[in-house]
Order: sequence, then structure tokens, then C-alpha cells
Amino acid sequence: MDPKALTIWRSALLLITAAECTIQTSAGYWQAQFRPTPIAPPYGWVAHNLVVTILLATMTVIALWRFLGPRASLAAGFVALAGLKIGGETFERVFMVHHQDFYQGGALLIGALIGESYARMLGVRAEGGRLQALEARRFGMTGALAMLAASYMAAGSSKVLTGGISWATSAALRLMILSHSDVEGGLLATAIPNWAAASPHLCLALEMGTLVVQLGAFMLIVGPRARRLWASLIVAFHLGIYLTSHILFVTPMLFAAVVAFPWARVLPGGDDNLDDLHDPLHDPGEVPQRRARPAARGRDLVILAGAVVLAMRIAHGW
Amino acid sequence: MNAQRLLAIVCIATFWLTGRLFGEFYPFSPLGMFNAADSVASRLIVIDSSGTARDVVNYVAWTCEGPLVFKPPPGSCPSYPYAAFDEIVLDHIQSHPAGVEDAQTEPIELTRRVFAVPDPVGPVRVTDCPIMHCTARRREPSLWTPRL
Repeated sequence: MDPKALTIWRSALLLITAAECTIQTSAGYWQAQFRPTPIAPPYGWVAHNLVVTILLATMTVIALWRFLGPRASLAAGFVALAGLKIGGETFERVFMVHHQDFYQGGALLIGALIGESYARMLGVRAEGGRLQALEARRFGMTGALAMLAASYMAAGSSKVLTGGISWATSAALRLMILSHSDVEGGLLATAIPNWAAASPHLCLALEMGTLVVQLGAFMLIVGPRARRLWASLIVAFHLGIYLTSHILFVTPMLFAAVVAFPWARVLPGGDDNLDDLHDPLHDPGEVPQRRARPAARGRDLVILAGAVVLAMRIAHGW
Repeated sequence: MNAQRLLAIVCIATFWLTGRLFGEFYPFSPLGMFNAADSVASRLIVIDSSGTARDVVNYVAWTCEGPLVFKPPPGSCPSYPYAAFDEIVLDHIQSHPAGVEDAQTEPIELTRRVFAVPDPVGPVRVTDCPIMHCTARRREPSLWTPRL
């Protein structure tokens, strides 16, 4: 997570969430026209009004830019989260299924917001000079990465808690492939899914691999090498799902691909060392601002995370 | 404990516990898709006038007999669990209705294809269960055909 890699991660999150916001909000508006019963306010105001839809998407994208762009405004980040939340709730009321496709982008943003807010609680301020700004952003991306890991761990634990450990030796994957793949088309559309569904032992191996990748997603926050390895496994996991059953989770796959890539080795001057930011040789001009590692304030962090969850829950009930 | 490690643990616990305790609400979820170890699944398909299986999303300008309830007549089909794809089919048919000037539609039969795999490493039993008669116009399948 060197400074250049940090900028690339944040830029990727900006592009992904901005695209997600635009697609989610416009798809909600478009499909709402065909709903036999109107969507109730307040989300109905978005679902049935093109001007409100455009304003919401525009405001959210601008706020995302102000948070994840060079300005790094924390307040704008919360505005962006509110915009994504309204778009997400509207989408959920219009579409009965697949609204979870956009959840991981929102979760990543919440992780970044909690991370940067927590950094402020510890006295690390984005406007406090280059080192402090980088440190605050590093906290943000740590939070985002943890949320990404949590989403896979949630999916894996749901399988074990519902289907038992025997989920890994069931016909779940074969049935998922059969019920999601097309019945007509070429190699990509039918041949690969049909071949996979006709290979039960391959499906059993893929089921075990699914549990390993999902339950082991905490490796994303263990260290640089483990992070790159597990992010690569997540990309392979999503590509495999797409090839066999045409289910594509774009957001987590793209973000994992960005995380998996060794930017520090490719970009000139990069160094994939988290502690590098504390090294005075890294930026001699900033030596006077060098700080000790901040002490953890666990209770404040838990209250902050709880407040975000509560706000999201209350808005869900509107 | 290191502040960043604590942050990561709290974020993971927040997402996981919120999904498990409160269920789904943007952007939290237990992400329970495909978590059941079922032995039966199904998919809605189209059977055209030649008896060939087709994908629902490759048809537009839909008109169907009766309400869009995708249940085969009682006793005509093996039991099957909830299929999320049904909602996508419903959205697709509702958002692609026949217009007054729509011509070249053809009679088709909306059908539920049920897959049964009683033994995880055994063969797949496939049963087609007709649901309702519709008319629709076929469009050429594309790699980028939206799934909505």
C-alpha cells in the first residue's frame, strides 16, 4: 500500500462506485415504470421521477469524487454514502432479486469512511500534511479491504451455517450452474456450463475451493503477499463463476484485481511496505511531522461502526 | 493492539454480525445465495413452436394468457425450491410488453425446466413442465443481452 498504490486503489473505488451508482439508480428508475403498483415514498420519489434520479446520481458521483479524489473530504464521503443508500434502497424496492449485486461497493465505501473517521479520532488528519494525509487514507483503504474480506467470509459462513460442512460435497454447484446457464448460444454460453455440470467431481472440487476462498478471505488483511495471493484467488473465483454460470459480480472482482496487482513493483519509485510512510527517508521534507503509531481506541471505533449501521438500518425502514 | 488491525477486525465483525443478526439491508447482507445443499433446482425457459428450448431474455413483445404466475398445474411437475431467476423473468416480461404495432410474434410456451440431482456425483434428471402459452418476438441472442 505505497502512496501510488494507495492512489490507484482509491481511484479504482471511485470509478467502481460511481459506475455502480449510475447503473443502480438509472436501472431502478427504468424498471419502476413497469411495476404494476407504484413504489411508496420516499424512495418512490426517486423511482418515479427522472429529474430526482439524475440529481441523485450526479450528487453522489460528485461527492464520491470529493471524498476519493485529491480533496479527500470526509464530509463528502458521508454525502456519497447517503446517495448510494437512497439509490440502493430504491433499487431494492423495484427489483426483487439481484439487488445484492451492488452491496459490496457500498460496504467498501463504508469501510473507507469508518477507516478515515477512525484515523481522525486518533488525531491523524487528512489536512495535516502529506504524511498524515497518506496515513488517513491508508486507514480508509484498510477499512475498505476489511469490508471486502467480510463480505466473502459472510457468504462462506452462510453456506456452512445453512448447508452444513456437507455443502462442500453436495450438488449445490451443479444445480447452480444448470439453473443459471443459458439453454442456447455458443461455447461461452452453453458448452462450458454444460461440461462443468456434467463433471460432478470437478463441481465438488470447486465447491471446496469456494469455501476455502470465501472463509479464508481474512487473508486480505494479513499482509501484502497474502493480500495479493487471496485477491488473485478471488478474481479467479469470480471468473470461474462467470464462465460456468454467467453470474458476474463486477465490483468485488475489479477491486480484487486492483488489490492483487503489484503496483509497487511496476510503478517507478514504489515500495509495497506499509511502514514506509513512517520512514523519514521516504520523504525527508516531512520529517518534522513524523508520528508514532497511534494507539487504538477500540470503544470509539465500535461506537462509530454501530452508528453507521444504525443510520443504514433506520433509512431502510423509511 | 495495532490500530489498523483493530480497525480491520471491527469492520469484519460489523459486516458479518449485522448481516447475521438483522438480515439484508443496503449494504449489509448475510450473502446467503446458493447456501442450501439442495438436490433440485429449476429455470424458466421458452419452448418454441418447433419444440426447441430457448432463453426467455431472447424474446420481446410479450403477451401471455392470464397472470404472470409461474407455477405449473398441480401434480404436473416435481416439487422445486424458490428460483430467483423467476423474478428476472417477471421483470423481463413486464418490461418488454407487446406494442400495438408489434408484428412477427410467434406462439411460444413458457416452461419450467426442473433439474434433480439426488446423488451429487450421479446423473441429472431433467423434467420440462409447461406453464402458460404466450406470444413474443424473437431477437438474436447476444453476448451482451441484458439479464434483466
